[in-house]
Amino acid sequence: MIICPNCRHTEYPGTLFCSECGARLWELSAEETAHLTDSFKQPTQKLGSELLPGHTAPMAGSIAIRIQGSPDRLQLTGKAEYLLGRGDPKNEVPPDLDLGPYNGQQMGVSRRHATLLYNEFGLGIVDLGSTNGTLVNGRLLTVGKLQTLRDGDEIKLGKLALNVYFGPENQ
Amino acid sequence: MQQSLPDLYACLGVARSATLEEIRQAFRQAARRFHPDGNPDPSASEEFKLISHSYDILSDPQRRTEYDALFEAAGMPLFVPQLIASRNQMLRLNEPQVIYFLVDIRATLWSNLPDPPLNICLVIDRSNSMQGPRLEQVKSAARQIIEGLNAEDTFSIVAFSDRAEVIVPAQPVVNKAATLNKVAAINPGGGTEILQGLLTGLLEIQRNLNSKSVNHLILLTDGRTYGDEDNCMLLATLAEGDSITVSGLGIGDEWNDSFLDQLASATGGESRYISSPAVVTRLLTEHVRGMAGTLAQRLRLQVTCDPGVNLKSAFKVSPQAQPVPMDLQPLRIGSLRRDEPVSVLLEFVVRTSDGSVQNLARLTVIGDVLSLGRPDERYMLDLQTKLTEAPEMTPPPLAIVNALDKLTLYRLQEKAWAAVDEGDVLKATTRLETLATRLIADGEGELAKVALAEAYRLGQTRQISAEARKRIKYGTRALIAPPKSKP
Repeated sequence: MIICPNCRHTEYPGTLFCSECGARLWELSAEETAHLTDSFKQPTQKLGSELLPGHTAPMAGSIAIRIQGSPDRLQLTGKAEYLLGRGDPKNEVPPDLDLGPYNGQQMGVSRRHATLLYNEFGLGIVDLGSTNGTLVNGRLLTVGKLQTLRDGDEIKLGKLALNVYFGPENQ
Repeated sequence: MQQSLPDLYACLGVARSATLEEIRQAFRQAARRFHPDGNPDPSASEEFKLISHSYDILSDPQRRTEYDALFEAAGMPLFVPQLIASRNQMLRLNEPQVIYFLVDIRATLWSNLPDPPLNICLVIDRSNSMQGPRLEQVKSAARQIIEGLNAEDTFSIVAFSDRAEVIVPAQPVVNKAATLNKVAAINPGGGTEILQGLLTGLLEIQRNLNSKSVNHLILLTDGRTYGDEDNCMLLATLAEGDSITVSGLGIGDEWNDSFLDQLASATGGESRYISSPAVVTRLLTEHVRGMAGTLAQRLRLQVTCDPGVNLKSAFKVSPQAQPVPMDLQPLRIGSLRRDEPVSVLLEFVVRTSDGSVQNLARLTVIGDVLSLGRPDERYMLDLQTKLTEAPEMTPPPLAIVNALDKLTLYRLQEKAWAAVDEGDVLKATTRLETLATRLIADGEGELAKVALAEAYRLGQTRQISAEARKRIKYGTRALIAPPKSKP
C-alpha cells in the first residue's frame, strides 16, 4: 500500500490520485528532490473559505517576490496563476517562477512546488504536493489547501525563503 | 447485407500466416487464460467458447480457407480501439496494484458512410411546474428541431403529465407548418409520471424501428417521478435490446439526477443538467444535430479479466463524461460518431503473475453500424503489460493524468453527498472544502465558490441545496471530458 502524504489515506500502488483528498500520488516514488530532514506535522488549524471578500488584495500587476539572500525582486504580472518550482527538462510545464537558479534543488524545491493564485478577492498559495512542503509565516500548509497571503508574508518552499509584497516596483 | 465476423486469428492471438503448430500452441495458451475452471470472470466461459470455436475452424485447413474468404469479403474494420496505459510496465509485487487504461474508440477511414436517418421521439414533461419559460423554451427547441429535419427522418412528440398523449405521431414531417401548430398547442397541467411518457414515446419509435436509423428517445423533465422508477428501468432495458437509446435532460433542480443517469446510461444515452430555461434550445438542438454523424449505436465494451485481475471501475470520459454502470456486461458506452472518439477510462486492480508479461484482460468493442444495418460489429484486442523488478520513473501520460485528475474531483463530490446522506456533516464539509481548494488550483473559481458556499451552508444549517448539488455534480463532470478541438 502507499500512503497519501496529504491525508494519510492508503491506496494501492499505481494509484495516481488520492481518492480521499485528490492529491497526486505518482511523484511519491519518482520525485528526486533532495529529501530534507524536517519532519512533517499535520497542521491542526482549519482552513477553508479564505478566498472570500473582505481580504486585502494586491492591485493588479503589483505582486513582487523577493528571494531571501538574493538582491532580486521579481515582479509578477498578467496572470491569475503562477507556478512556483524549479525548471527541469523533464517538467511538462515550466514554472512561471523558476527557483532553480536560486539553488532550488539543494534547498528542497520540487519541480511543481506550489501555485500562487490571484483574483479580485486576494492572493493565495496552494502547495501542489511538494516533497518538502510549503510554510507561510512558519506554518506548514496542507497539500492542496488554499492559504491567503498578506503583504510581506514569508513563504518557505522547502528551505528556500521568499517574501511577497503587494506594491509598485519602486517601493 | 454484410455480416460481421469475429476475428478468429485475433481471438487466438496469432498472425494470419500462422502455421498449424503455431495455432495449436496459441490455442493452448488462450484456453488456459479463459478456461472457466481457472477464471472466475462471468464472461470467461463465453471467451473460452469463442477460443475453442476459433481453434476448430483454423485447425481445419478447408474450413480455414472458407473462413479466410468470408473474412476478406467482410472488409476492413469500421472502428478500432486505441490504448493508452498509465504505465509501460508493472512492478512485480506481493500485493495488489492499480493500472489504468484509456480506451479510445475511433471510426476508421473505411467508415465513410452516409449519415443515418433519424427516428426521434421527444417526450416532454408538461406538468404544472413546467408552466412558463420552461415549457416555452422546450417548445421553441422542438420547433427548431422540426425545421432541421430531413425528408427521410421520422419524428414524434409525446407530452405527459399523469398521463401521456401523442402530440405528433411518428412519421416523416411532410407538413412542417401543421406540425408546428400542434407543438404550439401543448399546454401545462398535471403531475409527473415519467413511466407514462416513456412507454408512449417508445411505442412511437417502435412503429418505425429500423436497424439503419438512429432510434432515439429524448426525455425532458423538471420533476421527480414517484414509485415508477423500477418500471422505467425495465422499459430502458427493453429499449436497449431494441437498439433504442434514451437521453434524459433535466431542467431545474427538482428532478432525480441519479435516476435519470441510470436510465440514460442503461441504454447508452446521455443525461444532462439544464440549469436555466434559457439554454434548453441550444442544448437540445445541439444534441439532435450531434446524432446525424452517428456511425455506430449501442456501443458496448466486453472486458474479460485474466485470473488475478479485477476491473474496479469504468468511466466514459469523452465525448460527454458519464458514469458507466458496472452491473451491466458488456459495458454500455453509448454511440460512436464518425468525427469524435469515444474514450473510456478503465481501472484494474492486479495481482501480478509469474513470467515477464502480465496479461490483464481481453477487450471486445461491439457496436451496431447504422448505415450498413449491421449489428454486432466487433473488434477484439488483449491488454497486457511488461513485468519488471525496478520501478518506472517516467511520468504517466498526460491524457490519463488529466482525465483522472478531474474524475477524482467528480468522485470527491459524490463522496461528499454520500457523507451527507449518512448524516456525517463534518466529513461532508471537509470533502467539499477539499474539493473547493482543488478546483481553485485547477482554475475553476466559479465552481469552487459554489462548493465553498455549500460547505458553509452545510456547517450552519446541516442542509444542502438541491441546486448547488446539481451544479457541483454536473459542473465537475463536465470538466472530465477533454476540451473539444475545433476542426
